[in-house]
Amino acid sequence: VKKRSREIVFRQVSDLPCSPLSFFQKTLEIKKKGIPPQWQSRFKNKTAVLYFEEPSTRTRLSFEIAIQKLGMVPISMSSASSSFAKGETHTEFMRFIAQYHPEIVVFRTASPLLPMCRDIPLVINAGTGQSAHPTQALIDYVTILEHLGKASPLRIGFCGDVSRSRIFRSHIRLAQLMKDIQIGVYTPFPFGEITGAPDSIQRFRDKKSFFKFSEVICILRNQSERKGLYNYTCGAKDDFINFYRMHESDIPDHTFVLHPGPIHFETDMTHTPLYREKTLIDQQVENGLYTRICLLGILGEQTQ
Amino acid sequence: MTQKKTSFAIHNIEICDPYLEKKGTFHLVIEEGKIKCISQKEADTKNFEGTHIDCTGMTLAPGLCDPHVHFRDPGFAEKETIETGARAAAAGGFTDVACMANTNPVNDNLTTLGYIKYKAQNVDIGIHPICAVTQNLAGKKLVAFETLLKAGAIAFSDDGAIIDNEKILYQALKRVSELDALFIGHCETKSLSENTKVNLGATSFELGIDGNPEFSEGLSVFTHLFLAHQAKARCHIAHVSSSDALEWIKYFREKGSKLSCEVTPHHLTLTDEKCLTGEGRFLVAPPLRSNETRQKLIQGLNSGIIDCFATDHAPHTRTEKALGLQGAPPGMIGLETALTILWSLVKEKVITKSQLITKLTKAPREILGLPPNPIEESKVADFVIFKETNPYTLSNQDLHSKSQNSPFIGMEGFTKIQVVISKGKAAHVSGKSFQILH
Repeated sequence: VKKRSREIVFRQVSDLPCSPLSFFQKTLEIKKKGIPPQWQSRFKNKTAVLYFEEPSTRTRLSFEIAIQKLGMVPISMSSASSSFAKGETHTEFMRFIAQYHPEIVVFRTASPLLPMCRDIPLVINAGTGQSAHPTQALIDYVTILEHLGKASPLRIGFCGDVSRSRIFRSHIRLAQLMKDIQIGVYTPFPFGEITGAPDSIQRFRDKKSFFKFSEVICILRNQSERKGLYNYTCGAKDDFINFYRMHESDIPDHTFVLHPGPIHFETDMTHTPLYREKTLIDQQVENGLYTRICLLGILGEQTQ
Repeated sequence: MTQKKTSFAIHNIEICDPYLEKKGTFHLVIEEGKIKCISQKEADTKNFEGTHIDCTGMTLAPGLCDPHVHFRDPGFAEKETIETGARAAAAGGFTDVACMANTNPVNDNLTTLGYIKYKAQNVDIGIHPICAVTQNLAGKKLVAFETLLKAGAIAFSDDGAIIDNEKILYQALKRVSELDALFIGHCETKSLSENTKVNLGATSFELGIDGNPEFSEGLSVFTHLFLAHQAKARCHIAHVSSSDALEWIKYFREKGSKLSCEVTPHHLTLTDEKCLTGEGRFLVAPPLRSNETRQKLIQGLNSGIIDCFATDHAPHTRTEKALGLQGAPPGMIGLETALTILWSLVKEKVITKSQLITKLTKAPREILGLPPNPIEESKVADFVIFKETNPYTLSNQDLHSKSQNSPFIGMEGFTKIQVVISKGKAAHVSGKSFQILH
């Protein structure tokens, strides 16, 4: 009788089986020394299903490459090529996909939560609605540790479309797991509408004090594709472009800049900050691969 | 439907009756569905030749009344029918319920009203139809209030939809006032509430979805009560869920408005954190609120701002609720669990047993204009007998509705219904001692 694997669902950063700091360190170790051979033998020839209900470039590619580097066979699906178009629920999807015995399911959905899932050894959240994008928050801190030489204490400032950002929410959860992380926000309503967020988040009304506070700033994309109660009006967007879009001249030399991409140069930031020494956007993309390899490897050990 | 009138004697039972304020333990004889004798002396009942049942540790209260249920009949037989809804009500101790109009076709015409009244004749409990305020609940054209009232409408409400035109609302209230009828307001501000599934606050932030703000209800309650005050109409506010609403209700009551309001067991005992699970059974309109607001609702109950309880029993199919935050419709069932869940407030000494029973019996009956159902000699028996129990885990086995969308499954219950006698007949029997009545 085949022994059933332990089932793990990685929904949030809090589902990491180790401390965030040791995860960041392990990721950088893999980047430097390569993938541990036992991980590759653990996953060799296993199947991984990637289901992306929403468009994705970096997340999807980095997961696919990570899966391949671990020796697995990635099978990618999108909502257009699945039965969701026929009204199938996510829970049903998870139930039937388990019958094909994949080792891993990487799931991105427009809904705020992952569906119920059973009989799949490892399910990874690759972004749920506007609620969570745990792997991106991990990538950001791996990059911070790599370039600042520390992950905490840290003062990190967010600007751009904070209200709709699942990355921002995952950062808050990660900060709650770590010590001495302070989060600041500089963005107007409705992009900065965060009713219900922890009181510890500091709000800034001017760029000067925001940059004085922030060791690292994370610029978030204007997510105009997401609709809701606070539909962005032309006026709010114009205000944003006129007063909150980031220019190179705004950003102090010592401030590190992150952007999870894709960048909207007409609203988020001008091109010039891209070429600053302390702009780490390309490094985030590169670390995306190693972070996902590390996450799959560490969680894979737990499911054995 | 039970055909035979009921006869039995019960002994050593505590009566909790807001009409009579009897205290102590009593012995009763029920004969042919009527209360023949109530006495504190057992000897007064010894001549009764039928079944004698010892009810030590049990409580006898008038049949409960729910001013707000959705029985989905006609039109949604996959969710509930008048028959299954009545069974669920009886299982929860209710002998009278008022059914909202959001059926298919909407209860805004004599044919649908007649259909409901016809089916209501064949169930054990009292079914009182509430008719719509606007035709097809569309918020555009008013119904024929007088025609429907004379044909048996107990009240008027567009519950389940929102009247967002103040002129229509005022005209409806004026007409209701002329007829001295009851208007029941479902108070949400459409533009602030549409497309929201959870309370605005920590939960909506955590889930990254638009939240339903409490002031959506507060603003709508103000509009309803202000216009009702101008129109001198009797206005009942359904399922109050916000502190803003409580403040406006208090304000207009002090101004002398003819108003009343209800609160649901789920808004009193559950908080919006439940929605973090994404389970469809925790989605309801208005949504579950924060714990802080829940505490304010309890204060509103204690201070007398809130008049009565209502379950807002709203069945939905398993398939619909399985959609969760993806698109499950709002609504929870609650008839079977209301008493046992609300009993937790008595155990926590938040309200007294007497307050609980009053707000489940006398208060809603007075609001709806139903005749009193006291436990009194020569009256038709219309009561519930229940027993406080050790905490037990509520399960689907405790449900009698056609749907299973209860938010209370897995929670602790504290009472068990033993028997329900409605209009002189046994409507629900579950206590071992009462199996003889089957």
